[in-house]
Amino acid sequence: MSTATPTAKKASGIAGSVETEQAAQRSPFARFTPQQISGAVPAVLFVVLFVVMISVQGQFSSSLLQTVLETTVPLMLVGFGQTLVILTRGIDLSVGGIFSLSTALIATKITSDGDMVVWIPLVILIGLGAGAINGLLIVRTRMQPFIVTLASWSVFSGLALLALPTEGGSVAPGLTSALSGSALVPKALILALVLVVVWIVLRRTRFGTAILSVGSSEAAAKLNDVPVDRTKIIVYALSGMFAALGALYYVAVLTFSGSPVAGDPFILQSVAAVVIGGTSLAGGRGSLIGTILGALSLSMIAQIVFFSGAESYWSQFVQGMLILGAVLLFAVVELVIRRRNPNATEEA
Amino acid sequence: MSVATTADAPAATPAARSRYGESGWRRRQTPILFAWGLMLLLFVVVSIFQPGFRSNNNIRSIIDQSMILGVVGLGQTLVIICRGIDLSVPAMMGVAGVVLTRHGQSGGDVLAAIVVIVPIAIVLGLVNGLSVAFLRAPAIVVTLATNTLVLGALLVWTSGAGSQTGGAPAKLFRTLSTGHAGSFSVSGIVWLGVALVAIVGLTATRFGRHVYAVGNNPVAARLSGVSVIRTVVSVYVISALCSALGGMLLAGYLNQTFPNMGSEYLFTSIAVVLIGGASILGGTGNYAGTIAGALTLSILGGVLAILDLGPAYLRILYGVLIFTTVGLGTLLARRGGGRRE
Amino acid sequence: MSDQVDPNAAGWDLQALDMRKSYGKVTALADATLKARYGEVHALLGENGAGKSTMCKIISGSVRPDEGRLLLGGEEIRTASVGEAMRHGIGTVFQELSLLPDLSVAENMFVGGGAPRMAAGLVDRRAARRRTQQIFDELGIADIDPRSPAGSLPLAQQQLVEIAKVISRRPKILILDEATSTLPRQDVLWLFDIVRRLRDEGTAVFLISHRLREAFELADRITVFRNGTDAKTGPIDEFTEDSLVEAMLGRELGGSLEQRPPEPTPEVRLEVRGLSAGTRFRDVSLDVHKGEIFGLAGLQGQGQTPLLQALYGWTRSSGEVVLDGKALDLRSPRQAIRAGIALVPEDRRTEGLALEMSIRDNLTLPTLRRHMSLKTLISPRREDAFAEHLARSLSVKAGSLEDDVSSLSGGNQQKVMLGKALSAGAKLLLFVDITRGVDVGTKAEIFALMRRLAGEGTSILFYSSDATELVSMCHRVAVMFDHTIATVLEGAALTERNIVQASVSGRVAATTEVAS
Repeated sequence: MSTATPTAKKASGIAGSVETEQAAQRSPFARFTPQQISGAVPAVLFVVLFVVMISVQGQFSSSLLQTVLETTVPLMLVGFGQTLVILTRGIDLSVGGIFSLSTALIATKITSDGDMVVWIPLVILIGLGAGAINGLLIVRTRMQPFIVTLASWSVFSGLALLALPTEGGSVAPGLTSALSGSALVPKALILALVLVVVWIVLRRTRFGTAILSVGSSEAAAKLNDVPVDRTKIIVYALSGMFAALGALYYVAVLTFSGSPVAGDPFILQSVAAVVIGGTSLAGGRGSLIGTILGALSLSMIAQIVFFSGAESYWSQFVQGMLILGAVLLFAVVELVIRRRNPNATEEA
Repeated sequence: MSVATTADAPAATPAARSRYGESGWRRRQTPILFAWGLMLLLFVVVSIFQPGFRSNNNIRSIIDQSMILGVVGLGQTLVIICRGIDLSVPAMMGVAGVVLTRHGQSGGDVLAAIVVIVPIAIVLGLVNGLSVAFLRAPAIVVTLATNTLVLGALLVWTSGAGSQTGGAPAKLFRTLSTGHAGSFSVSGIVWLGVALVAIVGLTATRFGRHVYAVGNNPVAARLSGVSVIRTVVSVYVISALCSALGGMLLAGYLNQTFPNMGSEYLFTSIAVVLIGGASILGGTGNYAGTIAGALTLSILGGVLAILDLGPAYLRILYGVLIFTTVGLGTLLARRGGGRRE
Repeated sequence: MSDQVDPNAAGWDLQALDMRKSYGKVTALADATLKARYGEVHALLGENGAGKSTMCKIISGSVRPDEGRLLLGGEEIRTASVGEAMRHGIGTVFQELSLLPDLSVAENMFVGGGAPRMAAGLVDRRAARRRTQQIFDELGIADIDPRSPAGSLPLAQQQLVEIAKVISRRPKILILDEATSTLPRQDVLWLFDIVRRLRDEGTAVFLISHRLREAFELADRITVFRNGTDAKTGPIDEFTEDSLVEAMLGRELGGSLEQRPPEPTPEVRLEVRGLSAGTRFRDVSLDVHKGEIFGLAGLQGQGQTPLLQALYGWTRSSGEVVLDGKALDLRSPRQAIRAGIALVPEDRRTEGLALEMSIRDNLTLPTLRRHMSLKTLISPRREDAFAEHLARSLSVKAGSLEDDVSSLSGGNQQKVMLGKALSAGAKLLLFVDITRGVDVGTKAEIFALMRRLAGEGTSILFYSSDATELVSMCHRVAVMFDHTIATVLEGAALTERNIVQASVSGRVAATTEVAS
């Protein structure tokens, strides 16, 4: 009863000669983990574009920095939510609709400083609720996130058109002055830093781990007692909330009036920022900091094109190249990694 | 039903009927019939309240409006059946339309325009298809990127300007998209031709079978000797060609072109496929469903115009329509039987 | 089931009583009972699909039973989720591993909770890494960086992390579900040392293993599962290796009445020389004759499936493959099909069938080219005729060939897969455990078909996890052990006992009498 039987002892030593084989490490990526590569790419890209931007303009000014940051803040915010969703292996196309709806509400309801107390929280809550509806539908009906958020984008942008049929409206000056900063105190920079801090904190909470776990492997997440459904609902709700926050900043600082279709470009741009930022559409891997760098890269391209005197249309072309280049690069990295993965089983 | 009837049910309740008795053919056709039924119902109901709605002229204009969507939706149908998505539709439509009218303005003929447009479409399709099939990059991002890129190039080339009417080529496509021979609409005849080729191609050719097989189960398809890469690439090339044709038709229909002319089709081309009963997970769907989906969308547009309701309601209705059709589909599929054997 | 005589009947600390669980029509557990005591190692043995894994999954909270009660210390508990089970002190090393591939090793250690936290309640990553390293050091695990993503580790190391993760939570009941299957021997011994230590500290340990030797090395008590029930249970000293094998096989031991296939011709059809595929299998050489049914046996994961996949161009491999005197360079299934090879895969749902396509479409997919009219269109008449002929010759029971293949019963789906493979008239058939989960009637039909095909000169490589089948169907059986062919049994040596023996030990024990 105490230890193993002596016969078994004798038998030992016959079977065990399989060495733990390490992966063949020949490829150029071999020394890097996917995490490192997807972290390095957006950083390198950001630095290169930053240098190009400064050299094209000929000098570095803090107002340039402010412009870049301010124009990027809405995309950073929407991209934050999109990152969370994509980390769970989902996608949120409805951010465009929620953004438009929020823009319409802000431009029609928050026109004087007195409106702010009620309507700012309300707009944020509406965004949160709209996102939560997405999440609930995805979890309960098991429809694909793509379809659910495509349809709800349509509905939300219809609601935006109801609230504000054409471009127009105005925004309370108090909101504008609260959010826009001077060149000396770039509030946009503070905001960006806040986002980074929020991410770093989030990453270290149980919820942060749950997001990555759900995206990494839903089955394994369940075996680790991770609340999969709840995590998904919260993530979509947050995505809606961040779209509303983005709209708030957008109207208050950038446009000063509303547009019922303001959100539409943000659908594709937010996905693009996330992808350039190195977050995998297959879920489980990526970071918000990459998304912020991706968003900044996209708007720096516009700045570079502007300063170089070329037609502004060039920026769309270059952005397209950038997105395609990034997604193909990451795809190749994935392929190489999968190939050298010692446990990979061959598939189609 | 399953809960309530234990006590008073007849002895031989055919409990297993739903799974084993149901014809597979019927299951596959149900979503498509559902889409057609919805479309016809909508049409009939509106016609009752608004007799002008079923006039020859109005029917023709409904067909004119939906035909272009139907053509673009053909490519999207194939891509979605094959487990993909094509977001580069708007850019390709813009390129085709603008190139066509530009050629026309400088006195060129249709052929000269097509010689430029078709290779562009093929290259776009190849880039999309190879990235997805060979590098296994996510289709959403790849096609989103190529859309941005091609549209950007088009904007650079045209400086964002469109062009009004473009000579002979545009005239031809104007006839194709809005003309009528007697009480027959030309677009209807063109569409019928496209539909015939599409439906026969999907159901009765090797390629069509391969598209379904790859969409249904790429591993099983590969093990059955199907070249998955070739099938997927072909599907994206066809989609780009359909978008090109759609763009040229739209140029004729609108009688003017501009780079962003296809932007609406990003959403609607996907919507008609989903309303037509295809699953975004691939493997199911049929072009007949897409036709019904396209007709439904333009009837819906007509109805809202009659009711004097703006685009806001149209968008909301589009969304609701997708929710209900897809939701119903998922529900039916789930009731269709447990996933485990 | 029959513990009334046990003097310690009242002293059980964990009891899983009358558990039932079925998945659709497949019964995984039919009234099984399992009891355990703290401070004991309890080995669960049985063939694949005997129910031992399902039982463990129920206890661990990852599977909900249809019926049955779980008692811990005499009180009924519910383990509706892994988390609840964990809170009751039940920790499980899952067979399929529960590691999150994209998270770091350190994060994985604390996904379920227990991460070191800083003042603000946030995970202290440095501390988590240190804790992880400390746990590894205590357990004697070397060379695993807590920072590296779990998915990038070789399988054996992942297994170690999984083990460390569970043990670090100090479970009162530890379940090791095939925890040793991917481990090299020295790691198995390491694990056993730890398990003994835990046992001596009062932990109840369930050990599921296919390797008999491991049970004898470690267990205090053994329960043998068969056909979803606990067939035999008792202290270790009541068992011998022979009696265990007997209990696992049940009364089916001995020759069955199956008709034997006709003798093969001496002509060699397939020659394989030194075929290897990474860690999956290595240095495999074999000959298959024309008209021969050549069996492949062994525990799960010894390389049988990858070997067949490699012969179908589905898994990259290196080595020599010669078919009918022609050397093959197999890079894709298409090439294999053209060379006259067909494979029936293991998993109908993920590999074999396009479930939402019709039976006909599935049957004719590999041979569409033959049913064309005018070279472009599929001729419905010819296609239907071909599909109907195939379906009839395999007696597929279906309302209509237009029905979705998913509407068929498992056995009939299996026949459709067979039909696909046969449709092209292959010279060499590769069967990957195709009779698993198939009812007896269909099995008999499949066997009759195999005999007929062999009689017609087709060669069949037949991997089965069922030793009885192999004995009755095959001319020769190669047993794989340690990722290579350990021995080839034929003639009088081809017995169930020898197959099981060679599967668990890599050799046929000289002491075992040939009983047939």
